[in-house]
Amino acid sequence: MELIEINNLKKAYGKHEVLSDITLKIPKGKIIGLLGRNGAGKTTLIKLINDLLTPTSGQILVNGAPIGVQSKKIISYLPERTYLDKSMRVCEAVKFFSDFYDNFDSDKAYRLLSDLGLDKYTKLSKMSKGMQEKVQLVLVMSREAELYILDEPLGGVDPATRDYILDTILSNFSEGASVIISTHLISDIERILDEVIFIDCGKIALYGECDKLREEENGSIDEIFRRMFKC
Amino acid sequence: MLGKLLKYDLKGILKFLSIFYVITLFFSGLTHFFINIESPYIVFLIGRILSGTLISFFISTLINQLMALWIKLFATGVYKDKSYLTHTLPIRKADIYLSKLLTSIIVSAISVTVIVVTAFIAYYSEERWKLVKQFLTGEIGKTITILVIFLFLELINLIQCGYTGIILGHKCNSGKTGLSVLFSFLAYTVSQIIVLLFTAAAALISVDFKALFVSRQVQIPNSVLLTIAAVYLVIIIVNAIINIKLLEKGVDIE
Repeated sequence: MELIEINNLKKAYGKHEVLSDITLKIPKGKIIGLLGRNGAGKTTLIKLINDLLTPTSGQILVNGAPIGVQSKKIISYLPERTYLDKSMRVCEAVKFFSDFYDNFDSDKAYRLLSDLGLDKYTKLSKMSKGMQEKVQLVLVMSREAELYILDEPLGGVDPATRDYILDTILSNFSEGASVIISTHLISDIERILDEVIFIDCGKIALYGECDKLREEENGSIDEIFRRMFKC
Repeated sequence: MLGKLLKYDLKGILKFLSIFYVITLFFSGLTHFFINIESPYIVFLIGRILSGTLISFFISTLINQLMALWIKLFATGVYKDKSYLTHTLPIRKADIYLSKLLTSIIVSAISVTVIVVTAFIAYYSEERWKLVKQFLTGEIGKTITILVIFLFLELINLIQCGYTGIILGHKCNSGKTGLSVLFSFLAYTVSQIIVLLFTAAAALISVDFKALFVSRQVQIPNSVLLTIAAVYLVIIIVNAIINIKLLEKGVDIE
């Protein structure tokens, strides 16, 4: 059984179609890049998988079942924005996650936070946006999930921080789990990807294994992307 | 899971409202101090001004509570940035809604208690206390109790109509804030019309209810107040079920 199966998915706001006729199967144990230009529909697709949007038509199945409480237990999602209550201290955010997620490892979270040099009693409101995002990444990666969905985890950060983020992702996701990373900074993540999904104008433009694509198209994923979406 | 969510919802909202509770309590103590000094005149005047300020704090406690519940608890928690966490927790939509509703009921009870306690502190004197005790032990005491329950249910209905409006407003593709206000107003109007229609229908068979429409000077019997309170309770329950169904149909988070 596929981890995620998407059938004829469509999302429209009135007459404006954001995603149309998406059919996709996400296997287990792969790192998949969801790549596309700004506004291509990457975040919409991710939000649909996470029950933050309602499909206009079509179906999303996670482990064969529709989106719901069970799918949320196994999906660990990092949105593109900060969503934690800023009046919380870091330790309160950790407690919150351990209260709601059975697969959350508090020790791992504290270990990762201490690697960042973060005091667990610091209030989130006293942190910079970048620091808050790192705390969120730590919380998300401290879950023993079956699927990690990371929406633009490298957006707006310096190259050194990008390396830190990628290392955190690579060294902390559970064995056998899949990771979907949405980004337009392809060159930064290319080295870690097993598969890529190119999305454009709300449609799947390309889906395949990275090695195969590099061989067939005779270039890096970044180059294939640039060729394909040349303005 | 409902219990856990309720704990965090309560904590989040009370952290904010407790500031207003403390300020109101402080002013009640100050009012009590100044209002009981009759001379010199300037002190008496300060007491009167403080008394007026305290009453405005009572009103602002209720208004702040309403705004905090509608905006901070519900709109932000279910449709803004915080909703990215709310909707990805392994919790049923019904539990998310019930947690917000129960938080509203508990916070409203706390706010009303704060207002009563602060009023007691500010205006306490032995004579007044004796008078209040006399009131509370007699038939009027019963009426006041029923009236408090009645008004409390009306307050919860008002809060929940706000939630209905926010849910319906966020089903639209644009103008969500404006439409939320409009739908809240409509939901509240509908609930009032239902109560009015029920009262009118009851007037056809009950003399007490009929008196509400035909007499100029009416002393509303407790049974009438209790019946209308029960109607409000039914409206609150039915509205909660509708809101849960609407949430279960899915959300569209910006």
